[in-house]
Amino acid sequence: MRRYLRLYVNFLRFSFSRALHFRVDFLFRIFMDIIYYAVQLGFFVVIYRHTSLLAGWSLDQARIFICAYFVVDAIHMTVISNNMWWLPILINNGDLDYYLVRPVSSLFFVSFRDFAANSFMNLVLATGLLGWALSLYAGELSIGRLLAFIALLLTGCTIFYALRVISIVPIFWLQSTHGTHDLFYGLVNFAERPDRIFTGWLRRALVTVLPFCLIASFPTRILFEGLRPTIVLHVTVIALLSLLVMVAFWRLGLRAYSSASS
Amino acid sequence: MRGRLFLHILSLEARTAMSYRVAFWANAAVSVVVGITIPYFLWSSIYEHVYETTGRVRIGGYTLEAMLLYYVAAALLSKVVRGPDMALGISDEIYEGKLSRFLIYPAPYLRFKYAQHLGAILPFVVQMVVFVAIATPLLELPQDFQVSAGSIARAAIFVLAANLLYFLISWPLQAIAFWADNVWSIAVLLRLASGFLGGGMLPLSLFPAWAQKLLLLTPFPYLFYVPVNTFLGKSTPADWLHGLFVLGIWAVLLLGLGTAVWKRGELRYTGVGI
Repeated sequence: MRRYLRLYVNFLRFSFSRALHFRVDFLFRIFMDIIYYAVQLGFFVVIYRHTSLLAGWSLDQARIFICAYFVVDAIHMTVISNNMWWLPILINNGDLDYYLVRPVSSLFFVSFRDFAANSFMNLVLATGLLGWALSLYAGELSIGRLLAFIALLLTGCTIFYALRVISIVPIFWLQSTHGTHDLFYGLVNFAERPDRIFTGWLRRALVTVLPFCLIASFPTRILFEGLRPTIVLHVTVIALLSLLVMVAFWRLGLRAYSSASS
Repeated sequence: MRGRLFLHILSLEARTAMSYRVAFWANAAVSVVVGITIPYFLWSSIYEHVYETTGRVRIGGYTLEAMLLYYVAAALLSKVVRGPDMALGISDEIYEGKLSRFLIYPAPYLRFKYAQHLGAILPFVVQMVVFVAIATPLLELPQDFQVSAGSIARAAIFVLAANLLYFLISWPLQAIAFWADNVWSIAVLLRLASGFLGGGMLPLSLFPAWAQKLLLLTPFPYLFYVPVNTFLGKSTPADWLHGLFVLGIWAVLLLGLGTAVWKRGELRYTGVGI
């Protein structure tokens, strides 16, 4: 464990040093995410001009939900996204070899080696927005609920990460991520809306086999509905299952890895 | 640039865009299904609540069926207006020094890129025709909309003009690559802002009246909101002409801005990549 932590600290050092070479990109990324946050918040503000509740939530509650999603998204952009961008290239060019021969988990290495320092500011911004949204909420928010909310939000990040890796692994067989990449980013849109708007078989799918609704919506429900053990258990079990599937799928993919470029 | 060369570049780009056919159709199916499914559940939930609490069946002038049809039309038309993400590639060509090879091409750079841009949207036009052909027998047209051969023809012209407008908005933004090292985030930014302010995410009639008035002075509503409403027969021929006029003014202004930015940028270009 200590070896992995030391390795990660080195990843951070290199990433910050690289980010400082691209200062304008650094600013553009911050600006891009500010616009993204403004658009999403604006979307809910416009909707609530015409309704008092959406899936049982007031504007204040929906604001907390969407800001919680911003935090998950920012963590993904900062910690995972760059690595997931490079992963298909490493596999297709046969460059994965360098990671397979290292004395650490190859999945850990390819998932976390590039920390997007230029997205880090957005993580700070998203966390600030979540704090702002929580401060506007007039209802009761106990420390216990807040801690459970944060813990489940981090579990949501794990689900996001597992789903992202699962969406990339087919490249071992397909040589292209065009289809799966679009599929993943299409499905991620479901995570940006409250889970209670979905009904029937789609809802069942979104809280089990395609658990996008567990990423931010379920954690937010804990804040308003109290510490419900069913929700905590549900999110935790699905997160663990997602990780297991991810690791199994990754190992299966490695067996198909030919090391030659394609 | 001669017409034949323009058409050749256009056709080459269209064939490139179609080279990954499975991925192309998978992407089309996912984006259309997701683009319709989420609004369906979102607005069903909202209309149900609004009806229960106020008895109203219209929001922003749309019934639920009309609202959903708006999203279907917006999902299909916006792809044709926007084309694939990062299709222009102008910033990459500047950044990597590849712009130099265009100096020996027998065609002005801007027209070359526009031919590529048009070629890249051709597959989306095919997608749109296929999806409309599939959906038409399945969907019942709400009374709010009067889709006719005339409205479809007017919308087709408007969409072509909107596509040019989107290209002209993107051009000066891509040219920022003469000064900056990596500008892909600006393309994402334009996509986000235009989707929200142009009616791709929500019909603009849901916005406050003052915001609608303000937005109609910007180029964004002419990218999605106006073409979609033209297609659905919600606007009169006079509205259509007025829309085209405003769009034309914006196109001229953006062409002027793009040319000025480009000329300044070219002075900085070294041809070896940044």
